[in-house]
Amino acid sequence: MDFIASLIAASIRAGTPLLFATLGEIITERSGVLNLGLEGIMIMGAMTGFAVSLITGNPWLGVLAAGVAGMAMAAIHAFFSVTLKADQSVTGLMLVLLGIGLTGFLGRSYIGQVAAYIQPVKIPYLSELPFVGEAFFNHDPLVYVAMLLVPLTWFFLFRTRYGMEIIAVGENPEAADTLGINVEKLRYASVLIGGFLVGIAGAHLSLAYAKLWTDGMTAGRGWICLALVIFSGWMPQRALLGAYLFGGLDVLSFKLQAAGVGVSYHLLKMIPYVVTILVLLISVIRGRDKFGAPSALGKPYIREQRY
Amino acid sequence: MSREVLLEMRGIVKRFPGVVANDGVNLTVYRGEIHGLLGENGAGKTTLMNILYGLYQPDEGEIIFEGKRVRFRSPRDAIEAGIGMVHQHFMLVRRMNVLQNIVLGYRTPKDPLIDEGWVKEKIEELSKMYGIGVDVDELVADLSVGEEQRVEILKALFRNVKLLILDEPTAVLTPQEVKNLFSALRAMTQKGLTVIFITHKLKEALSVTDRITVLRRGKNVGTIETAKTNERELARMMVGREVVMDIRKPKIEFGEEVLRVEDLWVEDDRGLMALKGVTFSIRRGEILGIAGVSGNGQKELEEVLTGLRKPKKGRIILNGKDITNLSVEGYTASGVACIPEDRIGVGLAPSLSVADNLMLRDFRNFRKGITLDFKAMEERAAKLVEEFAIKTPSLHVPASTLSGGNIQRIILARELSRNPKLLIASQPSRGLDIAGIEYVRQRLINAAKNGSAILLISEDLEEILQLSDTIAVIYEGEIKGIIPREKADIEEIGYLMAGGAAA
Amino acid sequence: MIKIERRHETPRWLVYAIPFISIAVSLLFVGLLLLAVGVNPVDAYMTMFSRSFGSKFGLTELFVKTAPIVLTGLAVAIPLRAGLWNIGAEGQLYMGAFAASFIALYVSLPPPLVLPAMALAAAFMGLLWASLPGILKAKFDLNEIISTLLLNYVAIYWVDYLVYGPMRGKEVFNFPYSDIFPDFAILPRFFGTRLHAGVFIAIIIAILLYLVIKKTSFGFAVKVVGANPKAAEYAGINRKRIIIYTMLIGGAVAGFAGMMEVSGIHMRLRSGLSPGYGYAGIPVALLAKGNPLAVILSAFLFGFLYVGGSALQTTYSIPVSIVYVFQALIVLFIIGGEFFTKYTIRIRRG
Repeated sequence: MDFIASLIAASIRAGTPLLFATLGEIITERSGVLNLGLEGIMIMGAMTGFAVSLITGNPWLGVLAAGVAGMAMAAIHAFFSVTLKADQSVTGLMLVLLGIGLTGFLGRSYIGQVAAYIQPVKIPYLSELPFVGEAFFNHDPLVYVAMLLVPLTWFFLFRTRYGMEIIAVGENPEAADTLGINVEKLRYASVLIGGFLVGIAGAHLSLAYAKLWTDGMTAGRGWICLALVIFSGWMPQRALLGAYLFGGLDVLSFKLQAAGVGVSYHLLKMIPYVVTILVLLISVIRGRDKFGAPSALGKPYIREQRY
Repeated sequence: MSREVLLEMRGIVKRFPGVVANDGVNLTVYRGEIHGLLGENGAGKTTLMNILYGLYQPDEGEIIFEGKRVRFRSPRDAIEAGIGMVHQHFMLVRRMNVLQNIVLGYRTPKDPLIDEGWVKEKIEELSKMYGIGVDVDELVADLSVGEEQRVEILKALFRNVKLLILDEPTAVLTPQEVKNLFSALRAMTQKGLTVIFITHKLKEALSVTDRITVLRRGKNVGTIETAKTNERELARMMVGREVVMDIRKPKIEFGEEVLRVEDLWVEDDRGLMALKGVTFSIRRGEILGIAGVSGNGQKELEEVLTGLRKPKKGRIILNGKDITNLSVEGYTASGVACIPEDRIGVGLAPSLSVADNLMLRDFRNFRKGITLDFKAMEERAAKLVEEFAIKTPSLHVPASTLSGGNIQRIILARELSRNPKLLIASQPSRGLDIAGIEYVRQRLINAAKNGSAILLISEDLEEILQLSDTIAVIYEGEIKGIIPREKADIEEIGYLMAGGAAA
Repeated sequence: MIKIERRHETPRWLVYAIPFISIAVSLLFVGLLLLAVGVNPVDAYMTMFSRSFGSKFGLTELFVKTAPIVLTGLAVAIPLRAGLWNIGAEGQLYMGAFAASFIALYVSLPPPLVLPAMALAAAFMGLLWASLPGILKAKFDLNEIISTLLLNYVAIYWVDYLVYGPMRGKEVFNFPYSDIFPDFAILPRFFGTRLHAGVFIAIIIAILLYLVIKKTSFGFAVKVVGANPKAAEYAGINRKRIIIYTMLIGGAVAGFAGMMEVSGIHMRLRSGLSPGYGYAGIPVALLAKGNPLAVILSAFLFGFLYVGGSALQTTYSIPVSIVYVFQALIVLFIIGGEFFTKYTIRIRRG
């Protein structure tokens, strides 16, 4: 019983960065912009958060800084995708390279250092409960923020005018334009919000989950989040499920190793990626990705189109 | 119709790369009138209205609305001033429902939350006032084209529009729906609304408008009161010369049966049946015209007859051979040619050169060992350019730089030059100016004279009537009423197009 | 008011100048970065330059680092011509390396046949690795960027597993290496340097692919699919088959790069075979606009960056990751520059 409770807890902890980033990318993609740069933004967030926390001694400043760093990188993507109307896949890929390159270059001096970390918070009374206490109520604050973000994002997208406009801009930007909606401004906003959340995902990784900084520590999580967005059908509530499930996969390889399962550590590390491919496959066979994706995803919007 | 001037556009100039779309256009519209804006495709009507609606910025000129000089930097400004526009291609979010589409971007009392109750009430009021009914909870994706248009009109009315612009609203309607639209428009003007009605169809302009302004090649050729003019005069103003209004297909001897379609059942992309039990045949030299509003299975019919889509049931027999399961290449080799409905999306690779596009279907015939004989391909392309009078600076410019009419000629050249046994022409003259339309129709008639069997799919009833020997109607995947042209009755056809039962 | 307007035509000089301007501006930016960590950019660039061109060894290093990038550039460029992104060159390289190593170490063949067998096995393995994303894309329209990417991680972990486990060498003191290959499994070298035969083979492959792309019916079909997939289908081209074939070619070429690296450079299978050569293929292909011959030139630029990067590492202790920054900046500035070929900025009154 205890093992399962701790497994759930670990899955939630591991899944939190995934959840932040997936929610952020859902907002971005809902507006019609595809941001493939998640891996690069996340790792910039991880490094920036760690560095600022190290220098200031305040992990929350680190989190904030990570969000801002994420926003800054996303701003580059927004500029190229929305204003310059360039190929969004290329820009996104280059952001990954940029992120990995910059963090490898600038982050060298932070390897092996100890920053101020985010500690778990015991929720009074609830964390004393058997089983659920350990599983759900003994986490660092960002975990709870992420959980809250799910219904908040849902409400924002589906119950407010702003959310509806974002969705419209992602489905049919021309229609939105003719109704007086500012397509470019909305897309910029969505990309920046997304970048902020992905930056925070990185901060959680370095300051709360792993509690360290090393080169390349995101290890492909950004890519998994892109698949999670598809898997979640661009719906925030399904992102929750996907993120924690994948968090679980991540943890599984450690737990299995610790349990002495005897399978090579490296083979176990493959599991999340293989599962992601399978999950993508299922989403696509079910037609979810084709019928769920915002219709204008990845296509720049140009108003003065003449045929 | 009052004599109070609602809108004045003065000296509007708008240039695009290579063309002056509006060349010093003046337009005056009175409050409460239905003002027709008439011109061929490419005359500049849509550009002018897009400027009025704030989608484009004029290079020169000014707009005076309700006595004040205005400058609309975006549709938001135009909407705030009370101008609404229903575009030729509907601007609806298919995944959202009617209510969401109507209220999109509008600040309801509970903003930023959306007060659905308030919206529903208002929509109901408007529906009653103008006789435009819709089901607010239905997804736009499930609506018919006529219903979609009603949503577009409600969108404008919802925003308290004073001036409503409609761009070619009848292109996609059945004759009955057109009647409904016109009575709705009259109800609106009776309540003080003003309407600008863009069209290239003379008959409609004459039937519903109070005054008509004719545009030709970006210039205003004149404004006249509808009651005081007629088709011939308008046509002459539109084109600048006497227009031969009738290109009719002469009756010729039909040959043996070329195409036979037996009990075709074809699925669409969503897995629903787009064609249900379709059966017909076409003989050598015959043009079979299939009338119908877009979305009733025409796309799937075009695709199944070219080999792009395989039927679930049924057979396609060409000159006695069953070609149903051949590849696209097989269909082409058997002598099937196609002018696709989606010219630029399907029939052309816009970024490739004119020569490449001309050779798009036939390049495999130019194999020389492992390589392609590029010289021979170029020679053939040059020949086609000459034969079909394709205006292009060179063979190697991207095809996208050519005008719509010349792009059509590329496709015609490519398909007709191989003297196909079966030619499928889908919406062949859509979007072309009168010269282009004449050219295409003449070419089709020539192809029939040369022995091709032609399947003409068109939304344009006039085109069907002029060119077809035999006429059929397609509605919701079924072919109804195959009749020879002499026996065709417009009322009856319109009735079938709207889903009525065959007599 | 600042307005962005479409150009009526593009000045020729601008099109050719853009790659050079991009490289120059990137040098500027990276120079600023170097300053930020206390390194004199001019010194750094001089070091980079002299390492590559200052000695016979340096020059051969340039060729040696360029060769795999030519191949990964091709591996990206060919599918790109059909409209596909092969981000999996890195993984295909690793799998090719694995296959080649397997043949070298465990399959007994007459010595003259070993190198060709390794090459074929590597190409085949790379081809297989690319076939899955290719088929998934053709059949289900599954985003090939994500699928190829994910397979990279699997391939890298697979090689790690082998060299930490079943394929670990006997005298490697716990390093993640396999045994050294026997002599006949190592590509011949020249001039007493690391310049190996693979370099020439890479260039030959590039020329061959150029001929295929430009002269054959297949190349024409690929061109059409890349320009407009719907028109390609309408024209009777089997779009799905073309997609799969281009991915297979890309995988095979990248797989061969893997063989080249283990047989020509490392002489064994090991962890961390490639410093991101597979990913470098992307900027290379973009800069070359998909033209296989231009890929050769473009690859030299990036090979130069790698050699320079390792020079910076030994001289100033700057991590090799700075090369990634270069790569990303060059591409971003090229895209930015291309924007200016299509649009111009005009400042208007009112």
